[in-house]
Amino acid sequence: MIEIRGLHKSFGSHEVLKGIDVSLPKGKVLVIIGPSGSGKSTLLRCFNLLEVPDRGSIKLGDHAFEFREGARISGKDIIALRKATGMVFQSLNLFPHMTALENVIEAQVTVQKRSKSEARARAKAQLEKVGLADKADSYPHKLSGGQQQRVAIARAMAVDPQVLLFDEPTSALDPELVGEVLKVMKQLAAEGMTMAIVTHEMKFAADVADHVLLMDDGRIIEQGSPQEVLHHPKTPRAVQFLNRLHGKSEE
Amino acid sequence: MRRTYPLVCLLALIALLLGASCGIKPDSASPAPADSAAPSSPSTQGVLGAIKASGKLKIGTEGTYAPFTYHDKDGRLVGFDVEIARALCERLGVEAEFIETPWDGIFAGLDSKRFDAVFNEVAIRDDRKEKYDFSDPYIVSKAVLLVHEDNKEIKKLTDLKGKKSAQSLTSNLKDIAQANGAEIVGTEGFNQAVDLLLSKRADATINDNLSFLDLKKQRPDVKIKAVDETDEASSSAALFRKGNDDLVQAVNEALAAIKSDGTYMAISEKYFGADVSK
Amino acid sequence: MDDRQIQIIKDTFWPLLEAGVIFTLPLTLITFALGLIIAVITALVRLSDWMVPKFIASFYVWVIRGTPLLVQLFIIFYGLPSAGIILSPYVSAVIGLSLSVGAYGSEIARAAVLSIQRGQWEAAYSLGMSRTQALRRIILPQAARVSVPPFGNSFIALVKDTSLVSVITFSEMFRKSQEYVALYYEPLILYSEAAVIYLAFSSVLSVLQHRLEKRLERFSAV
Repeated sequence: MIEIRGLHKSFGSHEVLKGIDVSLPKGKVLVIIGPSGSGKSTLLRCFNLLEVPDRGSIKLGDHAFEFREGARISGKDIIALRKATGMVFQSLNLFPHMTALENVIEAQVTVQKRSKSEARARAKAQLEKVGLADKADSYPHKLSGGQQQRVAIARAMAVDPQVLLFDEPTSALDPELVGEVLKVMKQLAAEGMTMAIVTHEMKFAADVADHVLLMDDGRIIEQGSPQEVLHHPKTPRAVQFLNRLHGKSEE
Repeated sequence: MRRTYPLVCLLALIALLLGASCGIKPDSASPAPADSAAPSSPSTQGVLGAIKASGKLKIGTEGTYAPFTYHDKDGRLVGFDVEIARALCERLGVEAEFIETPWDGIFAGLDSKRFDAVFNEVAIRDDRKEKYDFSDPYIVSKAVLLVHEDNKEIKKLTDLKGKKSAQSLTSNLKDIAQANGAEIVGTEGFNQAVDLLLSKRADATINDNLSFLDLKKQRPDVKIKAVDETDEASSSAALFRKGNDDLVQAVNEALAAIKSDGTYMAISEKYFGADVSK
Repeated sequence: MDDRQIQIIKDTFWPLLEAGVIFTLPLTLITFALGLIIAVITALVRLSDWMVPKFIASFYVWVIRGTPLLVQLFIIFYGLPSAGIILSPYVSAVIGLSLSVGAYGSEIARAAVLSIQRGQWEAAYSLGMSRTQALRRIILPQAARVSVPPFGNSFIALVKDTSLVSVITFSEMFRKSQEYVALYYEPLILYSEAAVIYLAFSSVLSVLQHRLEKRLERFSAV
């Protein structure tokens, strides 16, 4: 499903991705963890080209890209890729001037060119799936963080993406609201959705991931099954990071 | 509905704009119809010929300078200069079309051919003669020195030395004030000068005697008195762009005619109760 | 105040108000509408990647904001004829005022668009929207709301800026008050009347602005 080879990305003189290789087969869940500044968000944002890498290659489904210094990527190709992916953000990013339902309808009509009635029906179904059918006509500012994030998931799902990307989806939520979002995500995984998730929620990662990447300073320093990476890390940096994290989650 | 509403508003506004640019004419002066206002062309005709052909003489005037060019209670454009201009145009067989312009725009308006003559108490001065042509004078007036009623210090023009005099910056009266050593406080017109005097921000102002008379007529209680007048009288005449000799000549002939047939005197009596041609 | 002055007020107030309604208000509405369109287009051009149009837009904003409105009107009306372009006072007034509103307004619009969080753009892009779609559907509606107070401000200032067009021989309410001053020699009274009428117009606009803001509030907690 997703093949990434030799990805490099710099912001100015600061190199953030120093040669990343990732494979994510269809229907599997990839979880990316690591300290801040490790480049995990940047990597995830390369999946839908919100960040354009300087060097390397990305293959996602039928879309393939080669990145080279000075080579321009066509806007049309980027949009085509983005139509195949959906993203859920740390800062929620619902459209405040639209109701929950309208948020979920929007891209279906504008991007996918579906009819309004079809879009509406699908939107209702999606909101039902995330448990918010009764909030369809509410504006985002009236919803809790957890509810907003679930709407965001519905919005991303409504355009039938091949891959769902999650960029620290619960990091900005109050602890008691985190659960409802993770529940939806687990359900999606169980239904066979291909997902790539950046998160700090270790227990969730352990439950849901098929494959875990631990990044540090722009490189992947550990990868493997959740058991391997989380409980039997090999590199000292990984040990350090996980101890700190475990220390925290035991509080 | 929510989507079409702004569009409808926009279309309505555009329609209003188009309608207005054709329809609305600000009261007295009707601006020449949109862009076709180029004064008619062939230089072989000469400006006089073109004017006679179109049937109108476009005249620049302020409309805010009583009693020479102003609007009466009913809003009609009247005044000594205005009526003289109308009488002259009648003699020439054309209609007088007044384009009201503040003083600051009057020379620019003449230069850019928005009008072909100016009747606005334009005093005949050498520097103006260099750039423009004057008709024969149609009014002669002395300038008076005005001060606040309570002012005991300034009794004659020479007393202006070191004092503040309110004057319009492009007027010859300013030169007279300066020649007498006054410090100039710039104003936009007679009314403002009056205000400055009343509020004692200026000690004096030199202005047209006839304007002062009109002020006293309108505001009999105003606390301003005239204490001196200039020896030399200044003459004002109609102003034209250079190169329109035929027009200037025709106007001069018409002026002589209305002086000899009594039209001039009638207007002069009406506004000033005296003969202002001397 | 004596009887004469009271009589003056009685004689002049209605004609002044009439002049305001017939000339000042429509001029304000039309030039604001046009200025708003110019402002949004200019702002979008300056936010785009097209080099030449961007340069032209920036140049326009720089020139108009850097010169007095009075001078601009003067140049359009008295200066253009020497280049063969002769415009009526009304058209000159509309052009001069619209360009002015457009230039200042474009900065308002630009700031409003820039104030929308990046996350909104990213969410739109991640759903597969193009830049134009994102602008049209997501960003501009939000920017519009943010821009209501500063544009309301612009509008109210414009009502009074229209008093300048008497310089280019377009007769509106302020010019009418000047005519009365010449007749009655009572500048303070007459200009105060004009001020009261301008205040009335501005107040109506303030109320409308407030109503519009209230209507747009339902989208947001702020």
